[in-house]
Amino acid sequence: MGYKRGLVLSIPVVLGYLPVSITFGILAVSYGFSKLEAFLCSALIFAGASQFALISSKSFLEGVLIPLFLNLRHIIYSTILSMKIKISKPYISSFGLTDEVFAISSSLKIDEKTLRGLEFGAYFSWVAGTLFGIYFGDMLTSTTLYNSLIFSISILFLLLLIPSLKSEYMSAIVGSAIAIILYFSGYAFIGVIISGIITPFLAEKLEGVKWWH
Amino acid sequence: MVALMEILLVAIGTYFFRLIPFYFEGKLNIFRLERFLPKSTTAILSALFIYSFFNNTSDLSLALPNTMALMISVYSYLRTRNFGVSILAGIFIHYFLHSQIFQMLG
Repeated sequence: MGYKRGLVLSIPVVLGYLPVSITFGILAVSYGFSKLEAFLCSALIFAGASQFALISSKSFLEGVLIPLFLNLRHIIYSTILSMKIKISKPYISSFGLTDEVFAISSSLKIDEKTLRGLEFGAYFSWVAGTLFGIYFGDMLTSTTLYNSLIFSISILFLLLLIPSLKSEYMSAIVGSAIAIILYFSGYAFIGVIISGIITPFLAEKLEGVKWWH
Repeated sequence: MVALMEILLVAIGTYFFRLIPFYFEGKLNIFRLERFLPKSTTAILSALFIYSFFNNTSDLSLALPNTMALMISVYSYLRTRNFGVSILAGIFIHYFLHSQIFQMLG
C-alpha cells in the first residue's frame, strides 16, 4: 500500500495517456484554442473523450452539454469507489477519477494513498503530454500528418465504444441510427445530445423485443 | 472568453460528478443510474464517432484509407487493450496510406 505503489500502478496508464494527450494538445491549438485554454482543458477537466468533444464542438451549448453528458458516468465511478475505499479527503482524491484510474482502483485492493499516487501519475502524464503537444506540436504538423491527427479523434471515439459493445450493442445501434438521421438532416451536433437522452429508453424497449419470434 | 467559460463549466460539472457521491456514500440509489448511464454514454460515443467519421470523410477517396486505419486500430486494441498504442497505430496507418499510397495513385 502507499503512494509509491500508486505511482507504479499508474505506469500502464501513463503509456496510454501520453500519445492521446499530445494529440489533444496539438488539436486544441489547431482548432483555435489558445495555449492557455488548451492547457486548462487538460489541467482542470482531466477527462479525455469529453475534452475532444469540447474542442470539436460547434457552439457554446454543445461545448458544455456534450462533455458534461459524457462525464455523467463519473458519478457511478465515485459511488462504487466510495463503497470500496475509505476516503478521508474526497475533495482531493475524487479529482483524478478517470476511466482508467477507476478500472485499476476498483479491481485491486488499494487505500486512499495508493489511489492518490495512481491519480497523480496519470494526471502528470496527461498534463505533460498536453503541454508537449501545445508547444512542440508545430514540429509534427506537416499537412498529411495533421489530417491523420485530426482523424485520431474518430479512432478514439470508436475505441472507447468497444468495451461497452458487448453489453450495450443496442444502444450503439440506436445511437448511431439517430446520429446518422440527424447528421444528414443538417442537425449534426444536437443529434449527439438527443442520442444520449432518447437512446436509453428506446434501447430498453428494443432489448425486450425477441426478433426471432 | 467563450472557450474559457466552456472549459470552466465542464471542469466544475465534472468535478462535482466525481465529488458528490463521496458525500452521499451508500445513500445514492445507483441502480437506475447504472441502467441509464451506460446506455446514454454508449449512444453519445456512437454519435460522436459517426459525426467525426463523416466530417473527416468529405469525399469517397478518403473512405477507404479512413476505414482501413479504423480497422487496424480496432485490431490493435483487441490484441493489446491499450488505447495509446492503438491510436498511434491508427494514426501511422492513416498517414502512411495517405502520404505514400493514395497520393501516389493520385
